[in-house]
Amino acid sequence: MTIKSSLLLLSLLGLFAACGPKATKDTNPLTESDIQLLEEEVMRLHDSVMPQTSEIMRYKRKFQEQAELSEDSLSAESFKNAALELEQAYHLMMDWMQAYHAPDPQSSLEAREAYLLDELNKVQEVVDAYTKALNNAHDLDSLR
Amino acid sequence: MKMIPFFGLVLLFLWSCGNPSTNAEKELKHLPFMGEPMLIQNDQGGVDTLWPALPAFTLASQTGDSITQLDLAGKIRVADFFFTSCPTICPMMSAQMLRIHERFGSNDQVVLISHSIDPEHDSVSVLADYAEKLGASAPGWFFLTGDMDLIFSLADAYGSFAEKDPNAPGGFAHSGALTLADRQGRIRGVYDGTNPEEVDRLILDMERLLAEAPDYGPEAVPVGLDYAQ
Repeated sequence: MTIKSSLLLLSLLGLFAACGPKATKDTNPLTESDIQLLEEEVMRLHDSVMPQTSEIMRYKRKFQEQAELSEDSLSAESFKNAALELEQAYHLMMDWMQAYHAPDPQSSLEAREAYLLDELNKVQEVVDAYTKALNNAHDLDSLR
Repeated sequence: MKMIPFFGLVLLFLWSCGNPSTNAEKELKHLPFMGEPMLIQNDQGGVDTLWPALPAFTLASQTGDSITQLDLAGKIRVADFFFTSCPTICPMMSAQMLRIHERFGSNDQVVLISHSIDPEHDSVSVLADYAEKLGASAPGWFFLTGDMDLIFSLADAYGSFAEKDPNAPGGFAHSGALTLADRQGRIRGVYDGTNPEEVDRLILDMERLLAEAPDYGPEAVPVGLDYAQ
């Protein structure tokens, strides 16, 4: 192999090494469409449980009343705790919605992605709280 | 000549079929009463049919005034349940309520009531700001806030959250309902508040209620707010 051909080979390898990682990144750049999908996912999670708010509050009122009427202190305590768990789930939802704002379109895609991923985690916590509180409420109600 | 009795029978048939449909059309001019009737034994040994009407309440409006069922008495009302930070369906519902407000805002026989289901965040001043930005004004359109349990009980009474019961008034599978109640507080219709065509129908039904005699139909009895289901 001549010096000339060795230099050519090294240059090509250098070129591939320099372009390689960048080329990989360029195939999946963050786009407005990715941000929109994330926003939609946040709303989808919210919408999946929001209509259950009436049921949450119906059980809460019912258990509060049963706690007051119950002569057995253990039953009264379990009704009170269930009502509290339901009310906390409701407040978690309302507080999250109060704090959530669609990200500023003027901010960078990366900043919006980070914000929405964080909101995705928060709204998932709301979904979990709703699901757990309602499951517990159904169980307690079926024991009556 | 044998044909005469035959034609007579045909005419009789057409006459007998025609009359009931005419009566049915007359009946259809009135909107149905929603909910379960209450059958009460009267002093004469008969049974009176009473109809559940919306319960009593006291809530604060965007002007800071206390509003009760007495402020709505004798008026046709359209109610919804919303909250100012709602990110999805509420803006659509508010836009449709605004259409109704623009149509009937000057009619003192009509009142719109939007109840906040997030009363802790939606204070009187927050509601005042929301109403002003929307272009809504009292007394044609009240935005109400107050006791959380009372508001959710009212939502149940209005049938606004019927997602668990497809056979409930309106058969809704979502929580974006607009409820139409007559001058006596009896529910006469539930509509999808996010669907402009449904709201077109609501507007037509409001016109029908405005044309209806105030004492039409069974006697109304306000239901109590029984929290136990």
